[in-house]
Amino acid sequence: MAEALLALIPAPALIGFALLLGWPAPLSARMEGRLGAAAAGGSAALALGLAAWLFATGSEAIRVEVAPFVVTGGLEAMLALRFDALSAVASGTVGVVGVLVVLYAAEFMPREGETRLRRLFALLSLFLAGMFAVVLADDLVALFLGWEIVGLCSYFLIGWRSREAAAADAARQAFVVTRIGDALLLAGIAALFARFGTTSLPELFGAVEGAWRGGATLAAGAIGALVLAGALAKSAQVPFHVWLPDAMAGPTPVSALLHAATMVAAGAFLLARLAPLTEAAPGIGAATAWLGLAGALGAGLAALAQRDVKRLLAWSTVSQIGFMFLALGAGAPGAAMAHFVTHAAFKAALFLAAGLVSREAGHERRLDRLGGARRRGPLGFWVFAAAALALGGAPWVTAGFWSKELVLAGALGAGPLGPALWAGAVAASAVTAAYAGRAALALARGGAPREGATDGPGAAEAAAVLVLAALALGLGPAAGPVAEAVGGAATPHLGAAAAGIGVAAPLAGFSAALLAEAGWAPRAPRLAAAARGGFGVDAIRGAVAGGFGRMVHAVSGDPLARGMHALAGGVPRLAATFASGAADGAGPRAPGGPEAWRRRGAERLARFARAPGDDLLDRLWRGVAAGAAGMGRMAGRAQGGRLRGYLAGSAIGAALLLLLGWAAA
Amino acid sequence: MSGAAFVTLIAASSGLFAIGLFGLLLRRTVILQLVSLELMLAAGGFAFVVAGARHGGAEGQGMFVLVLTVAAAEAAVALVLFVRLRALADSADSDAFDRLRG
Amino acid sequence: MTGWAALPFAGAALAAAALAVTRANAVHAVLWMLAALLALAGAFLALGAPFAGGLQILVQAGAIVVLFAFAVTVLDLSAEAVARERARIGWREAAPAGVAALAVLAPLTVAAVSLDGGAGGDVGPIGPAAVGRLLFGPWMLAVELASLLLLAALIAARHLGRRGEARR
Repeated sequence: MAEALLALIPAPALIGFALLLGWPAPLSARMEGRLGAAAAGGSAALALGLAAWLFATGSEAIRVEVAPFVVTGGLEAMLALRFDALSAVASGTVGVVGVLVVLYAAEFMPREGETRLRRLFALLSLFLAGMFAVVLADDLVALFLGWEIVGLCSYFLIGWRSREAAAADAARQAFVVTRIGDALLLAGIAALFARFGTTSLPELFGAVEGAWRGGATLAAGAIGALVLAGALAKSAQVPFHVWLPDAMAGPTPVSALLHAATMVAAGAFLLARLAPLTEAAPGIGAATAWLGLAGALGAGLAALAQRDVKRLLAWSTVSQIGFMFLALGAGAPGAAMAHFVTHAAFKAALFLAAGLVSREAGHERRLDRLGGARRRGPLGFWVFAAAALALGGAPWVTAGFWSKELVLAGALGAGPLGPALWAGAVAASAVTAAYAGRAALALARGGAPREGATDGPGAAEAAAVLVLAALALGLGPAAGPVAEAVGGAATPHLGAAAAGIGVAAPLAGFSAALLAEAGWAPRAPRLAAAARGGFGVDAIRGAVAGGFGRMVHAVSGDPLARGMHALAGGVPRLAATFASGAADGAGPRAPGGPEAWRRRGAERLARFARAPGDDLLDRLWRGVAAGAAGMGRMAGRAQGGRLRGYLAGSAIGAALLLLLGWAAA
Repeated sequence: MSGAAFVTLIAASSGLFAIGLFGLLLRRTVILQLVSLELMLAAGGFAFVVAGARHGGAEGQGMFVLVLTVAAAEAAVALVLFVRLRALADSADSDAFDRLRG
Repeated sequence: MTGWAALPFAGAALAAAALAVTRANAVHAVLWMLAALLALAGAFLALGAPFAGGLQILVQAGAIVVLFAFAVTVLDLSAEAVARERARIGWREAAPAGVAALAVLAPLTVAAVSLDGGAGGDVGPIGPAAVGRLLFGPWMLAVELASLLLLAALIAARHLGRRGEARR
């Protein structure tokens, strides 16, 4: 019974896709939305029902082999599905977020004036089917099938507004970057098959247990690295993080579902699913943790400097998935999955609320123009604020806090380097609270309601965002049990001091945001200036650049250059002091304030840029650039359009391949 | 077939392939490049037939038939392309068709 | 069938091929290619592969060479054009092409020599019946794919070769 239901989970989504794609008659927009919602809802209901059954009866994992998928020679890949605690959590999350987002989209997209919605809902249904295949698969080939389907849907959906060059470029970029990861993952799967002769996960785990536990080999590390690269690219983690912020060219519901809540977290899911494998491979856990921390911190800082609300949320997604990778690398997949669940809830809520807020402000996405959202559309604003609190991890009252605590606890328990990871994660957590608070406060700012901008949310939109907000706040008590069910072990408890710091970090971040909003900028113009300046981030950047410039010149030791430099810098600095004083009037804090910081930073940057003359380092620097350009030209010349040139290349390549084959034989 | 004869004939087919490759790289006239290509394909078919004769199976000749099909399809499309290109660029020189450069 | 009987034909094919790729006059080149292909047909017959030999004569040396003969007619075959072509295939051009071809030939030859050189079974000729049973039995799918390929080539040739002004 349960097995039959398991095999049926992706079916409603697939049927919805087929109907939307192939129904011979035109459908009304309302009908298209209903079909999409029904498809998502059917799959979600099945997944939730099965998850409830699993947790209620406490049964073991169930497995069903739907059909042989690829049977050739030694390879027998089954379309096998598995339902255990991990699949239950992931598929339940995907289903719930999926159905809410599709419901929202059915009302939101027509009101945005979008047409061609049939294709949108068809792609969303196909995406959900692929995502279910990823989270339910019990065979690497079946998993990869779903993995590619979601990648393809992501490409089409980012480039949804295909007439806009930016959207098409962003789609291509996302496709190319994730394709690199997909190819590496495929290579990893092929290597696993070559080594163990199977792609079935249970058999694979058994074989790995036997082969790698004793003494891990180089091959184990290489395979682990390939799988990790696949996960990193799909999840937009360092060093593959470039594609996600640009992916915001897609429609808002798509960003919410694919590029925030579910698809980009598939990398984290993959590592959780393959945890027995990546844990056995040497060095992979540490690499995962440190790359995750780099993403969590770096992307958090980047989010702090964003001006576009969707880009801010995109960077925040990179950062939050970084937390998941951190937990995975630290050997706490349960904590990672708990964060997966709460992140899906609050990030989807943030995106959908941002869509409402943005529409009410006349399709404005810049944070400094979104002020007054509270008066224009209270629902969107309050949902955004609640979800931002959850994102920042406001202690005790939000789900984000609980899952982040689990991640921190996992990091602290990760061997000798655990405390360093933990400290980094605490800093990232404070940064998260700072940008989350900054975004919410930017929306809360005064500002008269715009004329004619009374485009309130519809019933389905309101329902979707309210449910997500309720989940973002109320899922907290579920985080612990989820982590235990997935991780299999009781979660480690933090000491009082560590727990206290974990509570203090988000509070400090929120306070910093509040201070920046209130204390530094009592007047509206300065507030706007501060907001544009990213609350001092530009100034920090300027100061760093200036310091670096000074260091460069000190190192290069050219007294003439130094003298010229001081002269060139001195005059504008004098002018800047006056300018800053004039701008602030006779105010008591004339030399301080973000405005003056910014100006000084910009000047230092400018001074650095117009450094007179070339010294050794300049020449080195330019040499690198010229070398890169020259190599580009050389590579371009190879593509001369002449047939014989290409032929010669392929002949030499064939000769090398033959030699390689001969040497290997 | 004796082993020595087999090795000699396979080496001869490799030689034929290399001659074809040499011609492909040397010539600039499209039609002579196609002649070279035809020789390379024939070399592949030759190797199949030799191996089939060595092992006493019909598979060698079966593969030869498939290679022949490819050669025929290639020749038909390539020659019509050649005639077309000649009308376009008024040249039979493959180096004249270099507008697809990077 | 000792196999050695095919060797003279193979040698003739090699020589004819070498001439085919080095002739300045395109008609000569096509004729030498025809000679090489016919020599290969002889080799097939000597190897006890009459079906392959027949097909080689009918299709390779017949149909395909006829196509070439048609294509050659559009070439400029004046004495000046032939001289120009001869100037283009001097040592300067031949040397790099030869090096590349040798680079491919060397590992191929090494691989051929390291093949199983032991005594082989002396099998009789393999007639068309055996090949037919193979092609229309277990290899049905491959034959269907080949027919699809030929159909695609036919349509492509018809489409590309249609009359009409050549667009740049």
